[in-house]
Amino acid sequence: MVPTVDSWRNNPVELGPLYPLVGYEFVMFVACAAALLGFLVWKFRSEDAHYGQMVAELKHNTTATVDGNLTSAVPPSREESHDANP
Amino acid sequence: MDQELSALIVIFTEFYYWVTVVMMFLIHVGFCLYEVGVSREKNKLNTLMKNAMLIPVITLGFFLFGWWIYFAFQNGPGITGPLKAAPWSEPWNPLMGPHLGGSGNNDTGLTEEQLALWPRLNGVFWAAFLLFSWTAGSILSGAVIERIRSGAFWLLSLAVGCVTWVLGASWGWSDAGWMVRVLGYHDAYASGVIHALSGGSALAILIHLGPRLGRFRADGTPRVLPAHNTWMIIIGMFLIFTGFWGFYAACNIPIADIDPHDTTQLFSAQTIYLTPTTLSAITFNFLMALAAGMITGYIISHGDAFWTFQGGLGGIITASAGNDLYHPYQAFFVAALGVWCAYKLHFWVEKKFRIDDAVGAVAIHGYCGSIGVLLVGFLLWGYPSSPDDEFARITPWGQMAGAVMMFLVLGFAPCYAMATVLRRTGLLRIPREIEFAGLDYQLVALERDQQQEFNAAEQHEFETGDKEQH
Repeated sequence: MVPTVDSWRNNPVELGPLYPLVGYEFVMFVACAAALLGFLVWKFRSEDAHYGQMVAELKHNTTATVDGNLTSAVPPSREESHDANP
Repeated sequence: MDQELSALIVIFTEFYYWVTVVMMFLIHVGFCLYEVGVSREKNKLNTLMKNAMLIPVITLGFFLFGWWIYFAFQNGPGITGPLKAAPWSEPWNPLMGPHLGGSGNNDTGLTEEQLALWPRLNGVFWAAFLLFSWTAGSILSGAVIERIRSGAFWLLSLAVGCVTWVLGASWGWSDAGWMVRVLGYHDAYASGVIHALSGGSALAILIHLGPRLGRFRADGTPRVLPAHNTWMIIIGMFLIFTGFWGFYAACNIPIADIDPHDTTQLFSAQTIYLTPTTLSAITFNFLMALAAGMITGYIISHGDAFWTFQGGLGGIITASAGNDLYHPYQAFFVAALGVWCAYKLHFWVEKKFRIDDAVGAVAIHGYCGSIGVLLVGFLLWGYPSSPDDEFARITPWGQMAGAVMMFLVLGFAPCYAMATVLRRTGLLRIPREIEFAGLDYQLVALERDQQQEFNAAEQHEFETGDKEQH
């Protein structure tokens, strides 16, 4: 990769951008936008799956304790939980 | 000498905004503490992560499109002119990165004069606005705790933090915004563009989200949900007050030559509208508004700590729109009136429409902000809204239109539409079973297992060591 700055002893008035890969800003913009979009899509999908699993666990757990009365729901053990932080 | 002075002004301004950003960070720390304190034990970690993760989401969005919207949309567009060119804010422009302003090896599309400013000021201005965006998102966050899906919340906060509030700022909180030009809209420290707008957004989401389980009795009266940690709430509020100083400072341009005729040089701070002000002026008014809000909150809530501190915040928010020009006594009474109205409205709306606003965000931000914008119309009636004499002057009707624009058009309406879609697709609210068990349900299990494992290991080592000793 060719560095954008050759020497710090050049005329500073001529120094523009300092970062590498000058000219590829639009490509980096698209990649960053994709990362944001991807994160949100991933969140919606994983949240859906996670909540579905939690509800199933809760229902199972509750039925096993007191006839469907949620007031007695007991958290499952770690082995039953797949993701601690939805 | 002129060049040296200009360089000094630019570098001082750069440093000034950099410091305001650090101070404003405390607002977010405060919001996190405060929200977690209000939430119940079973939801506290989820509440924290929901709020904290709006930081990366809004930061990315604001870099990618929010900053550009602020400059590009100042004419509407189509109301006072076309879309404006703002090359320094385009997310692919070299000035959106480390840049020394020199001509070498770049294509910024800027004039030489602009190149003297933007390379040093772009990042710190961007960050100051970004911190306002986090605040806009956080205002929503508190209202909807304990039952919203985090994904839905981040999407909504992205819309408010990177689009709607930025449009409000572009139109009514810039030196060339069409609302300032046409309506004479005045909102010096963002009562409307951030607080009324975010409060309106929160109300729209709450309508679709519905109250937490068990929040209302059959007759419609609300039950009080005890906060999980009052101290976190109070420390959080103090940090929000502290960060608010940074917010006020960031709303000003610290030093500029304000002589319009260029016959002499007179340096002063300026508001976002480029009208002169002083840090002394806003310091007087900030503190008098805080005092009025706390006193009013204390009286009206009969000494309740939550509403006393919320009152302080509401007082500042109400007076903020005119705090560049009010006398401190005026700031005091404006703040008191705003907090009194917001408190009464909060409980009336809560009971009448069963709106479960967990932290009173709609009242403190939405109602106080709107009332603050309206009061400016009367108290500052006839003042010029801009150094440009062709701009409309401040009027009650201009401010009323501004309040409607911020609370309803840019705040309520877009979030109502988005929340409708999210609700219909089942993506807005968490399942009832999880709400009942608590959002930290699985973490509770994990911590319990870890504790049990540790206790067993501790006991084992203790007994083994005991035998070895004998």
